[in-house]
Amino acid sequence: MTHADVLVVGGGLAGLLAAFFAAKAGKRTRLLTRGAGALAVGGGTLDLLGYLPDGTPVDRPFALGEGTAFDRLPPEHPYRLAGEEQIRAALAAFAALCAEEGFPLSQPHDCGHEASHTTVHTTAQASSLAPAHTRSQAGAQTRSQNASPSLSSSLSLPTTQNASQTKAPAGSQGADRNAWLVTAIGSLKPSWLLPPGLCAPRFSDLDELLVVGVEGLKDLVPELVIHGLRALGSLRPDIAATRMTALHLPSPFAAGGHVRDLSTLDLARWLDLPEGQNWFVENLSRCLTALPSQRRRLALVPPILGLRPDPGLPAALAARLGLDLGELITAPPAITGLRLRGVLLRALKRLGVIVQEQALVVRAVPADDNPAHCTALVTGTAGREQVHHARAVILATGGIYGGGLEVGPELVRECVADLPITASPQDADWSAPRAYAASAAQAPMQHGFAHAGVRVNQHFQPLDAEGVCVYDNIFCAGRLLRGYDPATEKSGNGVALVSAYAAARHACEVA
Amino acid sequence: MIHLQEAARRDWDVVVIGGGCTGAAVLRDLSLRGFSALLVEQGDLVHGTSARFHGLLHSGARYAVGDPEAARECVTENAILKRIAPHCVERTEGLFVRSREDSADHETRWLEACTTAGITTRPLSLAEARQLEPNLTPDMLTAYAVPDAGVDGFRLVWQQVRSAVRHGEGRVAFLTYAELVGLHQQQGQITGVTLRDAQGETRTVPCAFVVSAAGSWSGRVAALAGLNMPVRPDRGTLVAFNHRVCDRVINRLRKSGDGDIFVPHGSITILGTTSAPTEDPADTRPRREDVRALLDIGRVLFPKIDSFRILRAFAGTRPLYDPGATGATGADGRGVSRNFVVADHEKEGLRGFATVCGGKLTTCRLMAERVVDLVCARTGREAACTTADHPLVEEPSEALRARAAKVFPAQGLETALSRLGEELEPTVTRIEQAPWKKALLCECELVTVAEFEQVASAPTSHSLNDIRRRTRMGMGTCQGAFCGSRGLAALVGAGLNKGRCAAELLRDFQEERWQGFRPVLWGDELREIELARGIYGATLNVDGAVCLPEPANVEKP
Repeated sequence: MTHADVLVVGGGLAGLLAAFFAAKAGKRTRLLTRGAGALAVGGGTLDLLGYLPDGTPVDRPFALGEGTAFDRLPPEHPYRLAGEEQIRAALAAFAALCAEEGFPLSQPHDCGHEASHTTVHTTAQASSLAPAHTRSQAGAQTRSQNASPSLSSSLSLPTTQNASQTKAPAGSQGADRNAWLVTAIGSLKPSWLLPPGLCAPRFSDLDELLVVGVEGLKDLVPELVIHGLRALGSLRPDIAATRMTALHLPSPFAAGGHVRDLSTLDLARWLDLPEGQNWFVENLSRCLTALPSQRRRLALVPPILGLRPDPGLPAALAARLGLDLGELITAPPAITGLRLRGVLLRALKRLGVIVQEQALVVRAVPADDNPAHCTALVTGTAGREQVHHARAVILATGGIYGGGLEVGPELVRECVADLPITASPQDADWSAPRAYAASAAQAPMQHGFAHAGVRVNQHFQPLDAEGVCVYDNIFCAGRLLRGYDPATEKSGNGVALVSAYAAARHACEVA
Repeated sequence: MIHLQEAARRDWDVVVIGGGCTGAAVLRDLSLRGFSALLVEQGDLVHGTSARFHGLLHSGARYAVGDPEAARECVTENAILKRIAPHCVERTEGLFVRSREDSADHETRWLEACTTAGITTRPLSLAEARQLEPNLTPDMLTAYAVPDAGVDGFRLVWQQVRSAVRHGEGRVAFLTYAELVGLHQQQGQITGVTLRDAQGETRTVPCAFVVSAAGSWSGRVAALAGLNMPVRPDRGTLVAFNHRVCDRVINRLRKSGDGDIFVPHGSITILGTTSAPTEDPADTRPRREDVRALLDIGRVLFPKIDSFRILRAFAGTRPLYDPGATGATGADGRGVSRNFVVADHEKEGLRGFATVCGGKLTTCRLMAERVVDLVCARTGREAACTTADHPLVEEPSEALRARAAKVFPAQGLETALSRLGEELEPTVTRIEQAPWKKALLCECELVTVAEFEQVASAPTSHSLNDIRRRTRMGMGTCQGAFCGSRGLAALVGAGLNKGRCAAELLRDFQEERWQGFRPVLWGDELREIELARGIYGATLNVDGAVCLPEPANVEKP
């Protein structure tokens, strides 16, 4: 039997953060986890909001039209429940946490040659960071006023519209804008807060972009990155004008003809070691000597610059190489997510949060005199039950992927407290005819299953179908929530953060 | 593989319509009997019914009671295919299991009918049956072993076509992504066919004879010559499970019906099949209600079926030959014979045109023999059928085996030898030249980067789906979640995307897989889908990937 003020369930970003915020507020906090959550899959960039549900790219989440991009979301969206003020507070708290842990995040961080940082970033250039049907706030307005604006009209936006907002100090012209990161398929993916090592290339300031692969690393092939960027070049003159070169490092583990499968995890671990760092610098330098010298050059590499959260490593390696370095976004394993997880676990330890692993929560125990009040959760691991008493409970158990929701052929079940879920696989809109949009110019597909989850109020307490709160001291965070789709919005870690912040705040009020 | 322009410059003895198992078998038979022959397929080889069934190599036991002639043919052809196509057949054997819901009288009739047809049935004790197949219901009443087996339709077609081309020594070729748009005749004699390729170009290919082996499309082919061929497409839906539910083919011992066959293949199991008439031979969209119905029936033999992870559902259209049919509202598809027919259209006044259809994949070689006998008779050529005498693939030499053993991991060697066939030597060479290419691109189906590149470089490969059908990449547990982007990267990295846009290749691949997921979006499969959407949507932003030139770079209304 254990006792806590706040009991958090879930080892993903939402659970780790909820536990941190509760502990930071002085509550005795216990965290029950079953695994690493989706951090090892998704990644450690804080994607806030990259697209509206209709596919409109969001360049400035906090400034779209008269209000914010969040205002354009449906009313049940977790961001709408949290509100702009709380979103800002959560982002600030997260940035402070990471800074305290010596892992400072940047927002957003453009990379290019150092000399380029004094270049004024015009609105037109910045808005063209968005792929395909680029829409900054001005672009979105144009579209609503114009039945079918051509792409070129959105690329030649008036620069006066947000002149005041572009008056940022040199080197941080990107403030308040999403960063558009380069992915392994050569697309650009919007994100908000970036950990060390990641940056959004400013193509207009580059003479040459180097894309670096490692022989045998199947998840990152530089030619595909360049192929995708070249295609984007048809819409983006700055990308089209950038020279791009693929470089291949030999496998570090192929000595004596022995070859093995390589993942980013193998290489990131290798670069935790001085030998690995030397291997990286020596081999990349060798590739560089074969190239004509360029003044402004950026090398995009797979996410292999160490598995340990060492914020100084990317810059140190860049200095040794004499060029800018940035990591690409690749398929799992998500090295950036594992780094962030390391940072957060360290923070929890410092705050004295007890983390209990391999804990499968099997049920919630309602109070004898109040079925809408939870007194404890019961874990049943290896056939042994354990009761965990708490004044407040935060469920951050994940959605369908994470295991917080269990989907049968007819019903969706919330796995801990059997919270009400109204969506069903029998719904006509459970899935869309296509998995993804037919092209970048089409709206993303809306799948009912992606929006399934627990309905909550503004305190992130669970509600039933009639809108009645079913537990006064249970709070929900992360992918368990209904009403948003991180795959189309690029909002996964952002919703995890904001809902964890809000859930922890309200849990602390009752704990 | 030949180009349309070149095919049109030659004069062929025979043009075969249809790149499924029947067309492939016909091409091979024609080749062995010395004809010059061209096989024409509207899509990729094996994109149709020959890949959209349960993969059962029938022992004949299923038809013993209702269709004794079909049963006898199956007995013989089952043994022949095991001999000539050993790399396509998984010798699992099969069980017939009677549940409490099934009649004892039928069991008696079935045993007699099997004896009459020459099918060996070996009774098992219930203890033995339970030991062999622990997932089977403990309530079963009787179980018999029969010589059923699993067969890989993809591989069987490709190996037959490759065998035909090899034996043809330049006389025999095939053409994919070429649609038949016209049949030409002069004074009651076939003179050629008009084909349209993927670029929309049309050419007339001269020939003296046309064999239609177009399966469910046979009626449409015959209609091009103004003839009526009463072939009804009948949609059958199947479910693939993520593991081996059983080690043997499991049949329900009852009058043949829906959902009563489980066939293990490699690491998966296929449950089938439903039967529903359809107008469109390309109506291969599986329905959710069909899947639920299959599970309800399958639950009788496998009570734990709801805990088995489903990978996907798929559907194909059977070509049911039904001269009595009055239209789409004919009798139940189960009532129509599974036997095949060879239609000699000379009887309707058109010389040089025959259709072979109906039947089963198990009897494709026999169907080919019968129709090529007819071609011989009509063209005055005397040549005996020898398709049962030669293996489809020559076994690799000892020297090549030794080279392969050095580059493939021990557990993957036999898989590689079996799957690669004629591609083995060039694949081994690719690894010898670049050892890292033995890395697995698709971990679920053990597909190396070298094998992927080898198949991708073939002129018949235009898409990730074409490569999937030959290598099985994307057909395993992850269903493309990991190997999809890797395959794309390997294609572009090796310069094998043939001018096609990467984003389009990826979308085509994912959307094809999606059609199989939609009817089964629950349980662990839905978790896998959410993982894939996390990778392609949230992480890689596939929705933001563009093509050059972007076809719709103007905002849609």
